[in-house]
Amino acid sequence: MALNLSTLTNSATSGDVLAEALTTADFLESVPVLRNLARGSQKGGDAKQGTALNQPKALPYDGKGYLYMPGVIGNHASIPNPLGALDDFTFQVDGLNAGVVRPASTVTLFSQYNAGNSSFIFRQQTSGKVKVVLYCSAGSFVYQSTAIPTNTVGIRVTRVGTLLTYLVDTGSGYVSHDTDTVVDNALIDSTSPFRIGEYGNGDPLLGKMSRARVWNNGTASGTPSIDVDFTATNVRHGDTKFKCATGQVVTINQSGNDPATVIKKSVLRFDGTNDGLQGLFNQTIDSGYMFASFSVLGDGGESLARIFSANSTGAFDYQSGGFTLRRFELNHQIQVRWNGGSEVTHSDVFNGERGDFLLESPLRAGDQNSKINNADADDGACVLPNPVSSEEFGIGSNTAGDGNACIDLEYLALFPSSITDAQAADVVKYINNRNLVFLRHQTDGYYFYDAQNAPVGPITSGSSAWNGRIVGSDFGDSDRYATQSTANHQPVSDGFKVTFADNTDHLDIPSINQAGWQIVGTSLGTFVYRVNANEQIRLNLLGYRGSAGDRKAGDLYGIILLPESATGKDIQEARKMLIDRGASESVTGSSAETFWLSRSDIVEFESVDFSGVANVRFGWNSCSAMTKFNVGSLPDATNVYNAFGSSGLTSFNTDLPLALRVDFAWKDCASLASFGAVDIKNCTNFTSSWQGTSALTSFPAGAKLGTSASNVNFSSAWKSSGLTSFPALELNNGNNFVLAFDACSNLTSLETGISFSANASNIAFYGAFLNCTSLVDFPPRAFDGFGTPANDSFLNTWLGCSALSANSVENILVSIDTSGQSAPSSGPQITISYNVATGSLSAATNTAVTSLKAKGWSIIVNNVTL
Amino acid sequence: MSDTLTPSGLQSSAGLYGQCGVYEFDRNGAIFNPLDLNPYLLFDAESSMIGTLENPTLDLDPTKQESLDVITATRSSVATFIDSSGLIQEAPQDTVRVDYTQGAELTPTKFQLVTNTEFNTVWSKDVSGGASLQVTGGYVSPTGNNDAFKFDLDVGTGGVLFTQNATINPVNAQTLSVYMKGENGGEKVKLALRNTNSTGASGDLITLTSEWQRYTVTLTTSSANRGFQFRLTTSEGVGDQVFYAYGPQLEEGTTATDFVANTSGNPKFIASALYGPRVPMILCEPSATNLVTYSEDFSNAAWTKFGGGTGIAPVVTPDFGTSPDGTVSASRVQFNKGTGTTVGDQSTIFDSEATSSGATTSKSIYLKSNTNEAYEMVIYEVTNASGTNVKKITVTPNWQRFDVYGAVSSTTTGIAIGLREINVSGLSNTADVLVWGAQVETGSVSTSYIPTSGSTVTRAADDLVISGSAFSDFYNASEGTFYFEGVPQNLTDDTIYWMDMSPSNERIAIYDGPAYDVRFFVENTESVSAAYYPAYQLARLAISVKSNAQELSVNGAASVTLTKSSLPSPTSLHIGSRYSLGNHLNGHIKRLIYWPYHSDSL
Repeated sequence: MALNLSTLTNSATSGDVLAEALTTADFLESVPVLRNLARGSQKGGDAKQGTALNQPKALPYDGKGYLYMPGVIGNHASIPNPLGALDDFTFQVDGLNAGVVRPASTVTLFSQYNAGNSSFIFRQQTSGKVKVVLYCSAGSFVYQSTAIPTNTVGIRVTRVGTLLTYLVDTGSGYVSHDTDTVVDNALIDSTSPFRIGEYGNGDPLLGKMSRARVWNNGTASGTPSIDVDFTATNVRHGDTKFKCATGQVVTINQSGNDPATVIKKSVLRFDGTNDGLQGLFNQTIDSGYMFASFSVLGDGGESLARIFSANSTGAFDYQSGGFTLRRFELNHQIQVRWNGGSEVTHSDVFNGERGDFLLESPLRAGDQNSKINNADADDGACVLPNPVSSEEFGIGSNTAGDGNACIDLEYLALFPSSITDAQAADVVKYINNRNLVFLRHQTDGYYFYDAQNAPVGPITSGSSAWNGRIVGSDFGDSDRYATQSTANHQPVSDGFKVTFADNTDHLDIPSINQAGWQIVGTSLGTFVYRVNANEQIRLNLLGYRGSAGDRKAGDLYGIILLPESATGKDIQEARKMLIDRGASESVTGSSAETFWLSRSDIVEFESVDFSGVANVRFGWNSCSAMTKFNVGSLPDATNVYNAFGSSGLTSFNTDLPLALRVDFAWKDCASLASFGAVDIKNCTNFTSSWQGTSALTSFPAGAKLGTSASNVNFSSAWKSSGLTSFPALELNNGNNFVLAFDACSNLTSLETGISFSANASNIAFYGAFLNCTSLVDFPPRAFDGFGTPANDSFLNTWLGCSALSANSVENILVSIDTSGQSAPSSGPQITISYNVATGSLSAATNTAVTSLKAKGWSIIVNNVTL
Repeated sequence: MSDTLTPSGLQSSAGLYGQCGVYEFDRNGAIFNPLDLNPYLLFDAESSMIGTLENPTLDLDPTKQESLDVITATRSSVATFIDSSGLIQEAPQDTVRVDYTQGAELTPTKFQLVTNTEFNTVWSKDVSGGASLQVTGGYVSPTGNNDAFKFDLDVGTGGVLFTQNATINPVNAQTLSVYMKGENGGEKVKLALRNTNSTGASGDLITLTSEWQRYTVTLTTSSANRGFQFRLTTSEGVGDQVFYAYGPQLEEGTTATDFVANTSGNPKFIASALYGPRVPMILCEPSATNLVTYSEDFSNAAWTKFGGGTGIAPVVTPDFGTSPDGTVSASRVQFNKGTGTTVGDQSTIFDSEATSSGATTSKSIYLKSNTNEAYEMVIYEVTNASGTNVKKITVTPNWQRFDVYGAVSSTTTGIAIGLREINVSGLSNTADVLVWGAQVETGSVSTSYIPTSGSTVTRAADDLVISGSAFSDFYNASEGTFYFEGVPQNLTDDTIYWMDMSPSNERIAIYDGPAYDVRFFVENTESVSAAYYPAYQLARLAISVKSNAQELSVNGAASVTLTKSSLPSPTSLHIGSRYSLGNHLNGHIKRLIYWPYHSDSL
């Protein structure tokens, strides 16, 4: 940076400079001071570096995000061959820093170039001129603008016919800057990758960029062909692969110790060569408790690279009185040095396996047992004795400036060693909430089959197996290879997703045998299940194996198994990560038929958006362990046929407002004890819906069953269920109640107010209450509005109702008579059994019988035709 | 132990987004913050990364008293300063004085500039085209009194300009206001800031209603000689009409304050100026001696009370009112010069002290009206009331310090105040004022008040030095940048230093001699001159140095440069004085910042 003194002393600008002086370091600025934010009585000093060459550099988060590129070949973003032959076009880059606009050497903004197979190069020159190289059948052509303003933050170049227009954005939108007359040929349809920040032969970009776009028109209208937006919320700090807005997979290519990085949080970058900060405690400390969140870059830096270091004045950190958390030689381990002693505590750190991580370590006599990401606790052997005596500290190096680490530091704090375990846990939570350092699976997940870590090509075995190991996880830090030995059953990875091509594709995994929360991110949706320990030997697209013939095809972005203690926040964070990586947040397509058929591992099925899904036929059928289905609505499901049949549901409270079929939907859900007042008002078919739900003793009064439909079929709907009563539902649209309550042997009453078939015709009630041996009370007026009866309409309807009261008989017959309906041409019998102990038939009954007989009905009570 | 962020199970805490970014969380009803655990160290890249610009190693900011602790102040006497509430206080020896200077003027002192607010006198009619205007009083005004005037206009083919001249401050906008109503409604009047020569600016044409309304026009012109004018002419679209008017007012500023009637023939005080918050600055002055022996007791015989011509000697009542230091030590002085306007017609009070022949002295005194009126008075050097040695002043109900300066014409000097039209005119005939804090000192500017009581008193110079570890802790010998904000008071009497360094052969300095503009030099021998900047205004200066590249910029001007190959190795910084502790700034320093980097690295 350079400040013009006249800017500092000008009354119009001086205030801005002084205000800037109150902020923090700018992008890529060397950092001579890392301010100690501690303000209490024990606060130490700032961490400082007086030598400019040794100062780490700032990569501050700007509130939106950007891609930092170091100006070193091998560090750029790329998309493989995304464009056809461009004719008119628009190139645009945004969110540039000043260094890109006036680079020290020419930089590439983006390109599609390879010697002999190029389409274009879009560059910025040291003079400030925008340079465009176009390759077409007539040859290559070079054009350049006049120098653009130094405060340019965005550059756009458009070609319409032979007119090339250079536009710049200095913060107030794009304005035309210059024009050229150019060749009108279509550009070559290069098969080279689209590269941001580099072209095939160099000119790497040093600086930052927030977005790169290409339109295949000269007006920047409509959806771009390429839209790589590093500010997009699905792009996370440090991502090396992500799906951009236009669907292509963007790879962040990294090389060396200053790699290109997506910046979504502020980091201080230490170069691993000579960068380091030193400071004073302003007191002598004998212990502490350290927390540091950071990521290791490149080769991790020097041998014995320091993360944090302290020493007695004039001594070294590895000597008596000092301590350090450092790299163990050139290995990838962390070693604690304490008072001259040492102990290796963690592996796979300096090889970058951990990504961003949070290292916490008590540093006190007899206890230096550290953890990473609240896990991976040392074996308890780090018990080096005696207190230290330190006055000086170092970050990224020791206080002598040696042992330089190559890291991006996010947070580092040293507390008194007296903080409690609970307070230490709070600090971990604080840092993680603040910086989103690690997710739950990194603490104690059982596995993470991460599609970005899958070997490219068919997943087979050996080096082509897919390892679900989570480095550092308490439960998952061991190899868990998913394999497939049968060629045509092998899913195929492209390094970003794993594609399951058909219902044969699946993977074998080592038996996990752990219950927990399974999060599955796929192109069909991202799903969360609580699973039991069953069936954990095979994976298909949607999780563990279910019905082998019904495996689904699609793209898998990852499968995670978290422990049962995972919180809602943990689970949703994992789900969000998979969605950010490309998995669909909601269920895609119109059919989820047989998706989870026979998944005996699912215990709970968590909420997901099923909008647009019309068919869930057999969706959860035979999920024998699934007790909870926490989806609030299947808003567009029309076909729910047998969706939950024979499942382990204990309750159900999901609206089905558009369902036309729920036949057999909950049939034989023997544990279903609670059914919510759900909305199934449009459904016409409830055949056997609740048949066999032996635990279902009551039914909600607020349920809407076919109330907006006609000719609704309730045949066998509650047959053999455990109902003991039935509410006064409005069932006037039903015309088929054949065997509806057949064999409901515990049913004792129907609530007064129930109304059957008032809006129906050709109504069948054959055997509707057959063998309801406990039914005592049948309410009055149930058939007052009864429509035209079908043949055999009331045949055997109350047969076997041996507990039915005489009053109920009266209610039945009076109501049917009230309906005024005549008997059908065939099967005029009204068959009733009742308990004579409740009294003889009443006068009203007899009157009704007389009247009904006049209408052609044949009334049979207790096998006697009246 | 409860914890609002970690309920187990998805349903009990569903939704990532509700908690994303929450990093202070509720722990048993209290917000958890790691700073509460009293850490030794806590670095957060988001707010801890400090760049070069954000890393000054010295920042003397008088708003933060602790930032001045690195200064070793040496002053062998007490001295006064103005505290944050505006009271003059006494600072002990060897202390840095932080002077709370007057804040920015938000609104000016307001005067009713219409010297006669009744329309039957002073106002002039400029009639043309056979027009006539009858102005008669005695009509009911908005106050309910019969003090409004009726304007009966026959516009003829020309019209009437009805004007009262006034003297305005052309730097600022002026606001005219008057209550008017039409006989029937629809009458038209244009108000203008014009004099009887019709020079000035006009407002928009106003259409009256039949109800009283106060109409306001704000205008700006370039000359002081303007007036309040009704433009009632055909060319302005005015016809024959009758309307009523009351309460004309012309005042400085963009708002019309409540009407103040005035029949005095002079501007009438309305309200004192309003200022923003006081601004603390380091006060750095040379030694000075108050030659007045009784600076607060004006009843003492050292003060001559004189009446001449139509005037009578002023009457002094000591310890009558609250003075600028908050004590009841201000004297009431009642002046009466009568109506005479010759130099012999006077009512004055003055003292005389010995000085060197032809010396330049500065004379200052605090004055405040003892009534709600403002008074036009005079302050002058008793031996030579000419040039900068005499000044007409307006004494308002707020304390103000007035001063004059200039060469004496003998071996005597002294301050005189009162009512005497000696090289000034238009003074009040009488004045009832509070007086306090007289000071006469050598030089052309008045320095901070030095109280006396029976003999002269000398205030020692302010020597402000940063040395030893305080110096080495902030200073980088290989490169660095100094930035000053300050207000110099005296750029004419002697060379003043913003800064210097010692020892004498290891100097980097910024200074300003009476014969040239601000300069800086490196290692004694090289100096270069930069831009002019005025006294009594905030100046911004910066120097940046490294080997082969040194530069100075003042008030936004392009830098002047030096190219010394080697830089000195000083051991102390002298703020507001030369390394040898002379040539004091005689002014205020609002901010001094040092970055241990050349501006190329900021």
